[in-house]
Amino acid sequence: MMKIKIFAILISVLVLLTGCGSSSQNPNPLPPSPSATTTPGNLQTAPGIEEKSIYYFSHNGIDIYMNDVAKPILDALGEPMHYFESPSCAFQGMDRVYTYNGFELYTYTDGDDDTEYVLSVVFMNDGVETNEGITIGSKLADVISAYGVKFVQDGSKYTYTSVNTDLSFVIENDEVVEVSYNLILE
Amino acid sequence: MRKKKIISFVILILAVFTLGWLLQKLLMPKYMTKIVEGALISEYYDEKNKDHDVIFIGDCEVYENFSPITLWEKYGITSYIRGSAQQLIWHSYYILEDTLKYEKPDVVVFSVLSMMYDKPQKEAYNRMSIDGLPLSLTKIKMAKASMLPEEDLITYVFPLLRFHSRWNELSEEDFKYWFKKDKIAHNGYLMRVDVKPASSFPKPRKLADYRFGDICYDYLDKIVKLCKDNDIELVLLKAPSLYPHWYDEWDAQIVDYAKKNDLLYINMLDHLEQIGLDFSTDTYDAGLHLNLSGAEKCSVFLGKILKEKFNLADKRQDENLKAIWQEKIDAYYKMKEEQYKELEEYGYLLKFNLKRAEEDNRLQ
Repeated sequence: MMKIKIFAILISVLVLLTGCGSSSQNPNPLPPSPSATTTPGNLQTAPGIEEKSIYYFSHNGIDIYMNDVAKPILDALGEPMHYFESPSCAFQGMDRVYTYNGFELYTYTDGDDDTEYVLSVVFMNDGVETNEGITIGSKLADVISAYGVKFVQDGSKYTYTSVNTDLSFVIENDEVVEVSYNLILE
Repeated sequence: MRKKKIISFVILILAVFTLGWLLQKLLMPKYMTKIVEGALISEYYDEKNKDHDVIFIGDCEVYENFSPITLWEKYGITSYIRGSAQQLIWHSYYILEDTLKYEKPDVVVFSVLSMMYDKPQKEAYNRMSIDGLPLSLTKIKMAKASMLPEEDLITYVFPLLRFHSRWNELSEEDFKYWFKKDKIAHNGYLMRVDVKPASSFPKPRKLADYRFGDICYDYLDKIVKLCKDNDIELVLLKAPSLYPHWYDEWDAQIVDYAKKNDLLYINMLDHLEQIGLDFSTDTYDAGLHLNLSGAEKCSVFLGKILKEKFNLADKRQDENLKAIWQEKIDAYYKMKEEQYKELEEYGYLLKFNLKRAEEDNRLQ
C-alpha cells in the first residue's frame, strides 16, 4: 500500500513539473520559438490586424509603417545604395539596415523566424521629408506647428507617439538634425 | 512502525529531488550547437585550476576579441574570460563577485560597452548569463537585478519551472549532453576563424542623452569597490569592434571616470594601427567581432600593457602550469585546424551556421 502511495506521489510531482505548461504558453527562450509568448524584445507583430499609426513614412508612393513586413516594401523600394547587417549576440535575431537616397530603413528579425519587419526609418539628409513637411534643417517651431504640442521631450529629442510608432526629432541649435520613425519596443 | 514511516518519507523526498534534478538537467538548454554562447558561464566552474592573473568580465567584446592562450604563449599570463552574450553591467558585477569566491586575480578587465544599456534587454540573455552560475546568494541577487517584469525569481532557483515545457522540443542534443557537455571555449574565448571583411556602417544615430544611466554608474562603482576591497587592479577596456558605434561622448565619460578613480582605461579603437588590425581579414562579421587572427593581435597588444603596467610575472617556467596550459594549447590548435578544415570543405563553420548547413543538406 505504501509503495503505491509513494509511486502515486512521484507520478503526480512529475506530471506537475513536466506537464503544466501548455503549448500555447511556451516560455522557452532558448532557442527562441516564433510562437513563444516571450518574444525577445516583446515586439508586437501582426501588423495587418493592428490599428495603423498616423505616423508613417512615404517615399515615391510607398507607405512604410513600423512593424510592417519588410519584404514588399524592400521590393518596391528597389536596390539599396548600401546594405548592412548586424546579427544579435547568440543568434537572437538579425538587424539589417538598407540605405536609400536620403534615408536608412532598419529591419529586424526575431529568433529563428527569418521574416523581416520594419524597425525604424531614419532621415540622412533634407532630400526626404515627413508627410507633414518636416525635414533635416527645419526649425523647432516648424515641428510644433506641424505636429502640435503633444510631444514628450527627452533632452534634445522631441517625440510624438501614435499606436506603435514614435516619430522623433532631435533638435540642436533650434534646428532638426535627425528625424526618425521608430517601432515602440514594449 | 513510526521509524518505517520516517524512512519511507525520506526516501520519497530523495526520490522526488533526484527525479527533479534529472529532469532539470534534461530539460535545460545545452548550448552545445548553434547558441554555444550560453555554455560560456558554466564552463568556468569545471576548471581544475582556478587561479588566474587576469579575469575578463563583459559581453562579446571580451569573449570574441581576446585569446587567453595567446596571453599565455606570448607573456606567460594566466587568464580567464568570464564573458557571456550581452552581459550587462549588473551581470558583470555579480559574475565577478562569484568568481572572487574561487580566486583572487591580480587584474580584472571590464568591457565598458555594456555601460550603454541601463535596462535588461531579453530574457534569453539573462538566462545565458545567470543559469550557468551555481546556486548561491550571489546568483539570486544577480537574477533579482536582471529580471524583466515577466520573469519569476523562483525560475532561476529551480530552472525546471521555466524549462519544463521543453519536454516536447527535446532533441538529440538534449540527450547527448544530458550529463556531460563538450568544452566549447578556450578559457572563455570563443574561437572563430572565418572572415567577413568590414565595409561601411550605418550613420550613428543621434541620442537624446549621451550620459550613461545612473544604474550603470552605480554598478561600475560597485565593481571598483569590489576590486579595491580585494586588492585587485581594475582596467576599463573598450575593445576595437567597429559597431555598435562608440560615441565620443561615451568615451569622454569613461576617460573622466577612470581619471577620478585612478583606473587604467584603454580604448583600443585609438590604437588600431599599433595593434595591426586589418578589418578586411581580422573580423568574421564585418567589424562587429574579431576572428581568431584579430583576437590574437588584440591579445598581444593588451598583454604587453598588462604585463608592464601591473608587473605580471611570466609563469611559463612553472612546471605545474606548463602542463595545464599545454593541454589547453593542444585543444586550441586542434580546434583551429578543424575550423580551417570545415571552412575549406563547406565554405563556412558548421556550428555557427546550422541553418545554412541544414538547407545545404536538404538540397543535396
